[in-house]
Amino acid sequence: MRRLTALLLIVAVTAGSFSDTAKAETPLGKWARDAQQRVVKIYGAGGLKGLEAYQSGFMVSPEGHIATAWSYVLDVEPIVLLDDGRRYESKIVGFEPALELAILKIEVSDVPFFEIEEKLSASWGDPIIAVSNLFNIATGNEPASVMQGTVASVTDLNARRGTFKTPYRGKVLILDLIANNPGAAGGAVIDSRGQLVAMLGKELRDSATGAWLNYAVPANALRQTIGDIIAGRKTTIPDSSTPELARKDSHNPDALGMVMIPDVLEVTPAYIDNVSPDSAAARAALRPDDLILLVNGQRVDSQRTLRSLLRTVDRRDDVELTVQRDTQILPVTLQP
Amino acid sequence: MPRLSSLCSPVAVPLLTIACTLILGVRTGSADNEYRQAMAKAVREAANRVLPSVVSIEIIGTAQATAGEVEQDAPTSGVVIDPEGFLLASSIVVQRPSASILAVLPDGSRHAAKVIARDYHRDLVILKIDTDKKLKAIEFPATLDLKIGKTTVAVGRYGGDASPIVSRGVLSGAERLDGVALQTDARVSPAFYGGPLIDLYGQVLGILIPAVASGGAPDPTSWYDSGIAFAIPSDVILKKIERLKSGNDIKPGLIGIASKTKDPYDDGTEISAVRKRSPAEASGIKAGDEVIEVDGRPVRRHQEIKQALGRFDAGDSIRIKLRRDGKEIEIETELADTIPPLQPQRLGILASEQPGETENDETQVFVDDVVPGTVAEGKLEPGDRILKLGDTDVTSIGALRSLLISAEPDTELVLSLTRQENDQTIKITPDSISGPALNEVAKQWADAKPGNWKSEEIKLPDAGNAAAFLAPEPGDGDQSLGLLVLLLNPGQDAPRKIVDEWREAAMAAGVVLCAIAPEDARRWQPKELNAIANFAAAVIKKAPINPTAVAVAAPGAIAGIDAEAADSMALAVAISQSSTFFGVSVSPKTRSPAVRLKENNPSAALQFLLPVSANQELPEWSLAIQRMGYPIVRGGDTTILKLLNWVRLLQAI
Repeated sequence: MRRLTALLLIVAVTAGSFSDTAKAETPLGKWARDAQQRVVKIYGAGGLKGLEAYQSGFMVSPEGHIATAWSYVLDVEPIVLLDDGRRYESKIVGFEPALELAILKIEVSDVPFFEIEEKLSASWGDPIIAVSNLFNIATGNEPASVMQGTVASVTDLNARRGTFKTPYRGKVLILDLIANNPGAAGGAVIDSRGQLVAMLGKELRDSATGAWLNYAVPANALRQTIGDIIAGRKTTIPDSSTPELARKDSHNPDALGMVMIPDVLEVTPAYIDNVSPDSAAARAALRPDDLILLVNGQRVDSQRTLRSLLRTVDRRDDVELTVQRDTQILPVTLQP
Repeated sequence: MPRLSSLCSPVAVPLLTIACTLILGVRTGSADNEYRQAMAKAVREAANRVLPSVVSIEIIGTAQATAGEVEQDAPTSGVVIDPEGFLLASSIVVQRPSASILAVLPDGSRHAAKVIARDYHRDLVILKIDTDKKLKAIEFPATLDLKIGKTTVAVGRYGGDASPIVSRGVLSGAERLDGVALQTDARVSPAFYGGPLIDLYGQVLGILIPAVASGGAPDPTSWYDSGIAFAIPSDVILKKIERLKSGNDIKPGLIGIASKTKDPYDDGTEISAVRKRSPAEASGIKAGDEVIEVDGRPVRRHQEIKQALGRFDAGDSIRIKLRRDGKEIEIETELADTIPPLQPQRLGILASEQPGETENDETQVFVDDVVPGTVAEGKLEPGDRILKLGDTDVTSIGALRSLLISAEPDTELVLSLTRQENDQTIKITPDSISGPALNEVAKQWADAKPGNWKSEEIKLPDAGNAAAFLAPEPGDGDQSLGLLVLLLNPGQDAPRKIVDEWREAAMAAGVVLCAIAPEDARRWQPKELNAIANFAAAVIKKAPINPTAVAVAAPGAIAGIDAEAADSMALAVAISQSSTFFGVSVSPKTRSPAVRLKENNPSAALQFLLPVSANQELPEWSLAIQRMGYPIVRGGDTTILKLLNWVRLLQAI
């Protein structure tokens, strides 16, 4: 790009008129503007100490479904700021830990959105722009930041031992652009047709080289899950219609053998502190430091939610958990 | 490629701008899009020309001791240079011993590689794999178009499936790193090391290596992804490759000359001393010669000599044009991979300079005083004017010092001098600086009465360290004082108190004292190396200090005090800031710091003082120190006063 600008500038000078400078300007503006309108800023409650409580996301339906990276920012129902500054409270309607993907929903209609292609069309060398709210530079009604670059590589980082410390398994785009910064996770990577090609990932080092990665997860890998969540085929919203059972008739963490970390915060994450011997948890090989993400497919955002979800399950029934252990996402069945 | 070149041609430009105006409103602007697509296509086409020859290199089973961010066993790239299975890679792959080096071919197959030879000068290594697979060798052009600003593409393989990876930039510079490397602004992350840097036509410009500019960072990988990356040019590789393939290592070529100027960027190319048993000596280069050209390149400063010599290897023959006694002569010399280390020598005099009588006359060098107990005692006298050492005219104190630092041990020298208006010659065998410390100081110092010395705190704008110094009030007492920079251990945070405790000894020895506490109360940090030299420079301006009597020390320099963090830091400071410090004193139990050891420089020679006696064993790191030509002085039962006397005597020649 710089090369073209310089080239045209030289032409402008030889023509002896600065009015030609305008011709040197790239039409990146339109390309960028279209993309920006589909990108949103997402704010959480404050997250963990010392970590940023903001990230990026993008619209995937005209009714306000937003795809973003699943992270600690989503501890609470996040606040979403649209490109024009409109502010919404959002609901987390679904998430897929294995893809590090979450879908939020806000109450709007007719918003611009990205369609997601079935196939990965990007290849190495392709020009792209990345739109995200890196470092939360764009505040209030400011649109997200646009950066240009190219795809450096389309590669598989997982074939080697634990190279890529995320549960995501599959192809990634490596970007020739310093794109992955605090707040950029969930941002959109767009090709020169204006088509969404990937979602920026969280900040990560490549553990094989030790270097910081600039990477994005291809959109086609997220397509099925996004579709399922929007269509309601896959939701993690607690079903409020399921009645709570009497304490003696339902499950609770202690009875299942899960000693949770002390519940001292308003939203204490559901980390297991200890596993009681000879319990359902012990039989299922749960371990201290496992984080419970889902109970019977419903999202656990805190220990309080964990307890209330378990209250809806008959104590004679199995409990399906999804837990995170380091970077692994594991399905676990607790049999009482 | 054709699309891009047509875009660049002058005829196509009007069409392009028309296209811009006409198609405005189409989603991404088609001319812009077309340009970007053309570039993407050009980059892919160029990279595809070399990719069949680009492999991924994996390191298996190496010790994890990283200095920088980048892992020791980071997978990197390499290129096939011969269908027989020879590969070229970055020497980062042999930086540490490993159980195995694997080459991953473009088809994903892995092959064990063995190391054939290493180019220590260019950080490259030749590997060999045995395989029946058909290998495609990369082509290194013999001539390169190195127009600065031309498009460059870094190419490598990355990830478990060894996918192609590219980063585009421009050529930022040539002949970097003392004439050895090209520079590009492509974002070169570790995976690219060993891979080719190509132009848009698929021509190989060079092979990427991890490197930083001198003084840039402790680890060569520190600048990854920064837009500052280096590659060894193809034409040079082409010349070296057969030598490497036949199993011969390549080392940088050394010549063995010392510069008269302390700062290599100063004007002037006069040689102050020639190293013993060096190529310079063998080819007849003499102290006092001025270098005019190195291999046909005119040079004006010692830095330019260094840069011109930088491209040559040990074993290369080069022509050097010199000016000697007003006449130009040309010599040829074959560079060596090693020169026997310096064994610095000393006469034991204090000298001073006076300008010549007329502007055209050379500077005159006089003996000011003789240090008792040295070889100069009884042979030289205060007031002697030194004319020549051997055949070399002595025209500055620095040149005289260089000559003695590079002198041969136990070898008689002939000094020509003027004593009370009579010319005479004196035969004298200098003494090695290594060995026991001198017991006495110059008579003129011992007799001097110290004036009024004052301590005060000192702050520097860009350093957060607490520091204090103790110095005489201006215009008071002795000239040519010493300066000791004392580094305090983490936790010692009252530098003013320390300098006051040392006041009596400092005044007696005539050594200005500057104590510096670490910025962080828990440790010394590498970024403070430079700050410490800045403190020394600031204090030198405040008192009449001889700039060659400047040392850095830690509390462990005193006998009986244990080594701590400050001792390692003092060593690191002395080695990395060698143009400021001429002496360093620490505990013999000091843990050696992570700094690259450079050879002792006769123009700014450094000596070590350790509180050990004649028969005590020296620390393990002292072997490396001595191999690099640094003398180790044994202080025995070193007291504060003895340490300070040694500091001031650093100026003795």
